[in-house]
Amino acid sequence: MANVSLQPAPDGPSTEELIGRVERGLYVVGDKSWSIDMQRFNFQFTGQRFYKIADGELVGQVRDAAYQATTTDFWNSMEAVGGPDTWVLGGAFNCGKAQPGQVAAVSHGCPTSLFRGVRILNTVAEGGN
Amino acid sequence: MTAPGVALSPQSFVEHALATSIADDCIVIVHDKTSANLRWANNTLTTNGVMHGVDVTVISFVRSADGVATGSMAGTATDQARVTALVEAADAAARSGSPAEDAAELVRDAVSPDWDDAPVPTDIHVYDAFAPALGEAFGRASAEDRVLYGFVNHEMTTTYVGSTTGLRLRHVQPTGHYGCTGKPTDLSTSAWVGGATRDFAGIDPLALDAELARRLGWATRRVDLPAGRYDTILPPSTVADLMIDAYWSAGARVAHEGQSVYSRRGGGTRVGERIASAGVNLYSDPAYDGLQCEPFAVASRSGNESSVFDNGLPLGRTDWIRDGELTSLIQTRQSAAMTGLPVTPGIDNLVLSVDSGSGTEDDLVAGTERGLLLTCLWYIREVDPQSLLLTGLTRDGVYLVEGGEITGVVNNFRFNDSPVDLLRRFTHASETVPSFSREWGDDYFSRTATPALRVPDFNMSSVSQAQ
Repeated sequence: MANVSLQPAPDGPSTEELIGRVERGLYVVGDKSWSIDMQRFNFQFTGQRFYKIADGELVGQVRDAAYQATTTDFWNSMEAVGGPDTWVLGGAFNCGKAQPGQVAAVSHGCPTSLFRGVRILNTVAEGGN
Repeated sequence: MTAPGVALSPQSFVEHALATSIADDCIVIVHDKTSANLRWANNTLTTNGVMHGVDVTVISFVRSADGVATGSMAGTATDQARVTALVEAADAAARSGSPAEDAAELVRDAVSPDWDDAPVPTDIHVYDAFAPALGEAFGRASAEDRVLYGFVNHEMTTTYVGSTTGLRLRHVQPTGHYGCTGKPTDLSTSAWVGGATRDFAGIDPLALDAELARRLGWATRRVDLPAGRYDTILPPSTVADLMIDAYWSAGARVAHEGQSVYSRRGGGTRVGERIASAGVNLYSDPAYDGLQCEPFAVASRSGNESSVFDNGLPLGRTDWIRDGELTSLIQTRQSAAMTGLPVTPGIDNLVLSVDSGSGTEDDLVAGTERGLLLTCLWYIREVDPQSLLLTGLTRDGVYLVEGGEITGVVNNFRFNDSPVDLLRRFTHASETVPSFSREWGDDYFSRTATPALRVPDFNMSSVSQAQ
């Protein structure tokens, strides 16, 4: 339940500048469907919205995407963090743990960040449909 | 003014709130809950606790020319002053609210014959037989180089629902569960057993330890397998995990509005469609033996699957899937009118049965040439609501089945699959037995009965290094 944040780079790039560094990739907005194993290795997330990046520009919204990684591999694949203007504080009021159950509010702040070589899933294919 | 030290009854809270409210109507829900728990680790009892709390919800209804507005306030209460504060806040919220879209006539004049009875508590003595036997299990496990970790909890919740329209309903709900993880002293692997119980009668820690020892014995050979689709036996616990998600997603309004796996392409719901194999039945029944639960609707606030106007509606057996056909969705009276379907509110238990199901989980293993046997699932989350694709992980024992026998333990996996789709793809089912969802049973939904299912192509999307 710790409140952990990722610090922005003081003179870091804007979101548009980070997108501009990507030849082929995805821009993920928001989070959804978070799941991680009990030793915090394997995780899978979706997002609120996914946009396709081609040659440094957003070229449309895509659907049915998720991303999956091992925690240490994922953070080692981080190439850049954005500047203070890209930083957003997120969180939840109901982070739950323990037996008997306990609930606490948590908050996590992050700048826009660029990760390379992350495994992207097609969730339709995952469902076998 | 209440004299200090005088214990107030839940019924007095109800009557005081109803007399104090100046709204046009009022409903009061009181939950008197006691619980007792034990926790252990490394073959030692580490903590125990007993808790008691009284929660009061006051729902006020104010009529105007435009409709009926509601206000709902909830909190703990130990005296009438606190109840008065909740009433005043609920009345004020209703007066300032806009008309409720789920407005309906309030249920009238239903009275439980035991309304006047006191709450039924539990206490630490519920473990009078369990705790000494747990100590014996610790001794045996230590002697055999095994360590046990676990938690048990028993709750008694007595619910009182009273209203200005004559409701005086009472229900006593026992809820309990147990879970124990076993590891060898080198912590190289783990196994888990657990279940639900109403009273801890017959729950034998020595038997739990013996099953853990059997499972840890299967782990003497370790086999690493890659991601892929595997012939997989899902024990009743994991089937409960997955079916609870299928049930929670079965709101009629959400389906009608095109947002769920139960939505029909082009509009409306899939009620009447075959969505599972023939012989598959998914239902809830407040009177199901061993899984008894509230026989009337209780809603502290309105949402897609519940309405404060529906408090007190009688509940009976409801078939969600009958012989493979989707027959009902979770309804309020509002969503029933919207969908043109019967009023079938949610019920606090769930049963999956398969007409052709027979034998046990072990029989499914014996009939499998090569596949996986799971123990339980972890951190299950919805990936895609329209297919109900779920993700999650295996833990505490994935076993390799070869030639009808368990021949080793396998690494953990992340899965991506849909519980609704599984009901179409499974090839074998055991008999339905009482089960316990490790993912949802502790805090949310512990009353299930499910079979083990064998699925020929369960999707293990990636390997998890967690052990």
